[in-house]
Amino acid sequence: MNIYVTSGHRTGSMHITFSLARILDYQVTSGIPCFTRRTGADEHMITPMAAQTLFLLDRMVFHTHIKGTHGNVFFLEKAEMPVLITVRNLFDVMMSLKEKIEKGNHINGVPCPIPWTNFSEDDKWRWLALNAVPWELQFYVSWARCILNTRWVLYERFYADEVAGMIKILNWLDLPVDEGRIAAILKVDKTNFNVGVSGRGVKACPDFAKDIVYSQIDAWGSPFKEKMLRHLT
Amino acid sequence: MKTLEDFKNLKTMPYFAAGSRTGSSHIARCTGRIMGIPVQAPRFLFADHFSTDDHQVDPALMGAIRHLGIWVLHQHSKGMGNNVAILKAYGIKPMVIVRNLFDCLVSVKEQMEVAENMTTPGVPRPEYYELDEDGKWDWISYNIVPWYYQFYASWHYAKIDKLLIHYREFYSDDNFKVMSKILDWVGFPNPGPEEVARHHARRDARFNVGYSGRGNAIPDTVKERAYAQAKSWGPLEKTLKDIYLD
Repeated sequence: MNIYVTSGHRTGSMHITFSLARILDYQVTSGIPCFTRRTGADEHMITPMAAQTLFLLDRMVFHTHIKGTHGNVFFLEKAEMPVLITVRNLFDVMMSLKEKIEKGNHINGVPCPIPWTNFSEDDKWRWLALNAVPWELQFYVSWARCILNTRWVLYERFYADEVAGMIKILNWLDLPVDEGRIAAILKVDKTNFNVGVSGRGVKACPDFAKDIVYSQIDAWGSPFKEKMLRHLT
Repeated sequence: MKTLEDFKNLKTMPYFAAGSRTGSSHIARCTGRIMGIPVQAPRFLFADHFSTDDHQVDPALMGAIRHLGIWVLHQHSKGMGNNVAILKAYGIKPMVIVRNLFDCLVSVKEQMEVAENMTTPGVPRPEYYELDEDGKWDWISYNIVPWYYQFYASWHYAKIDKLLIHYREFYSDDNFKVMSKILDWVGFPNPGPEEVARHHARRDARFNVGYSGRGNAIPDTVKERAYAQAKSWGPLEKTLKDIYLD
């Protein structure tokens, strides 16, 4: 069996992916070698050639930032693969993206303005609200519309109790649970320094940027806006 | 009938990276007819017609197409790292097609009204028919406008030789001048104004190709927001306004 993890940006998905793989003795491909180049800022997507890996490999946890658009869903459906979708509070995502761009990194699918360093703090938040947040909302809706065997992992709930969160994932996958092993692996298997920290963006994001985000959520209309407000803010 | 002689000075395979609803199908087909080669929109090889997928340059497909012959390639691809790297690897210099943003938005809206699954690449649909008129414009404003700005920004920043083609110039009395630029960029002999005009007159793409100015009718709130969205790009604001909002 293979497992697919698709994540919104900065949603703690690397830690979940690597921990899950270690618990199961699976291999991880972050998908980047399969689907895009490491240097690329491209939108992640499953191309026909890369899709072959879904069928040829076994005991893999795949991890990318793919949306649930037609082609991606088509290949995952053919591969009969369970899909974990990770999302997080949008303001924390914005905070983390801001830090990521400041380090010179890209956002997949969204070109960043140059030179970023000349932007004031307010301008950075405004740009993120107007340009990066639409991707996160589109990611959310694409999967909310999807009919595959999916399970949503909300960052805040998972990182409030990682062991319980991982047990829920394993139960969903109908795989055996060894709580001691899970706890031991989760303890050591941290990837990025701020994994598990919630609320930084909520505090730092200026009100005008929050208003832009709420307007965008509102623009999606029912039933998505209600779900987004519940899961992403 | 074209011969190999016609292609001996070819500088690049014709590759059009187009914003959505920019009259690009017609431009690609004109180019294909003048050059006597087929047009391929690579997404159709691996996604269905109503695909919501982002358009990407597929390395395997690009390799295969190259061995099959010379094509006019046409995608709604952004100039991001991987796309640009693959185009460079195959010696392809893209032509980037843009159009007045408000005219694009009117066209996007019409497309969404008539085709149940259709959106701009990479952008999933809302429950579109449940939204009222203002709601539809708000959704387009917050989701489609960023796509256009990001599309242009990606090519603006991309370190690759590119030719910018604007709808308003192609669909004008200067059509021959623009088509000449395209043929010169590609390195194909120019057949002259009459032949170009003959191909340009043949409209087999979409019914409204060549109309400009319909975007004047979109709500002021959407226009004002589009200016604010352009402003958020800092140093790129002026260029975005020149290209999309003038």
